[in-house]
Amino acid sequence: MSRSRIAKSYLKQAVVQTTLLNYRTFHRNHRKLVIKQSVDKFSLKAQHLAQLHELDELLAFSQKVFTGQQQYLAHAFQELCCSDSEEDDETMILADSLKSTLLFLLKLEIFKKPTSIALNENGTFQLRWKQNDSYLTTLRFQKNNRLDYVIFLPSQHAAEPIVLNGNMNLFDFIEFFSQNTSLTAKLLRG
Amino acid sequence: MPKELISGTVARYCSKSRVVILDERHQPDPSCFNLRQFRNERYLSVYLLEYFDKLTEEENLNAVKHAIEAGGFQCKTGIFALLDVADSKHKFEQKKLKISYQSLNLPHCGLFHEYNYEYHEMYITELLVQCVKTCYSIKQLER
Repeated sequence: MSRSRIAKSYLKQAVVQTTLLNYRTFHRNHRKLVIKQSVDKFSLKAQHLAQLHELDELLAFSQKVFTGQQQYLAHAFQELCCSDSEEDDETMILADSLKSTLLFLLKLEIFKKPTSIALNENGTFQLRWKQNDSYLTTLRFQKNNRLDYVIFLPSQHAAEPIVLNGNMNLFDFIEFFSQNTSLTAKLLRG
Repeated sequence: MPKELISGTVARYCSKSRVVILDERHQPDPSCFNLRQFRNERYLSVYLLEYFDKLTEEENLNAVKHAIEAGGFQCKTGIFALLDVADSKHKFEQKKLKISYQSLNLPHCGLFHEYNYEYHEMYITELLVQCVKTCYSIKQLER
C-alpha cells in the first residue's frame, strides 16, 4: 500500500472515530458548512454595505473588501472618483451606483478581471468583460437598484452573436445569473 | 448646410480620464461613445481626416489634435479611434440600425445615431467600438 493510501485510510478511520459519522456523511456535512459560512460572510458584508450612503464610506468599504489580488478594484474606484477629468464639467458621481456595483461584485465573489471600469458622465459606473467581439458583457449600474446590460454570446446556429440587451432589477439579475451558473462561468468567471 | 458623408475616415477623441482600462489591448471603451445628456448632445463629435490631406494618418491626426485644442480642449491622455464611414454604416445597416455622418464645420462632423432607451445606447456603443479600425494614443502622436 502506498504512503498516501495509508494516510488516507488512517484519516478515514480518524474521522469516523472522532465524529461518529462515516467518511461520506462527514464530508457532505462539511461541504454544506463551508457553503453556509461563505453565504454568511456575504450577508455580513452586504448588511454593512446597506448602511453606507456616502461616497467616501463606499470607497473605504471597497478598500476593506477588495484586498490581495482584487485590490486593483479598490484602486480603480478611487482613481475614477478622485482624479481630475479632462472635460470641463463636473460629474456628479452617484453613490447609489457605486453601492450596486460593490454589491454585485461581492455577490459574484470570484470573477475575472474586468476589461474596463468606467464612470459615465451621468455619474453611473460601468463594468465590462470582453473576450472578443462575440463574447462580452457590459453592465451599467443605475440608481434605485436598476441595471442596464448588454451581453454578446456566440451562437451555435448563426454567424451573428446572440445579443441580450435590456434593463433589470439588480437582484433579479443576480438571481438570474446564479441560476445559470454555466452562463456566469462563461461570461464573468472564465 | 450639413451634408451627409458617404466615405472617408473620421477620428473620435476618446478621453481616458473616466475609464480605467485593466487589460493590455489599446481599444477605446464603449463609454467614450456615449452621448452626453447634460449637454443635450444630439451627435458624437468626430473629425474628418481627409480634410487635412496630409501624407500619413499620424500627420492628419496631429492636425485634428491641433484643431481640437484650438477650440480650448486639451487632449492629454486619451486615444484617437478611427472609423471608416462606409464600413461602419454598412455594419449598422446589417443590424437594421442606422447611423449617419454629417459635416458640420469641417473638419468637425457629427456622428448621429438614434436610440429609444438608455440601455439601447449601450448596444450601439458596443457596435461602434467594433467599427473602430485603428487607434492612436496621444503619446504615440507626440513621438
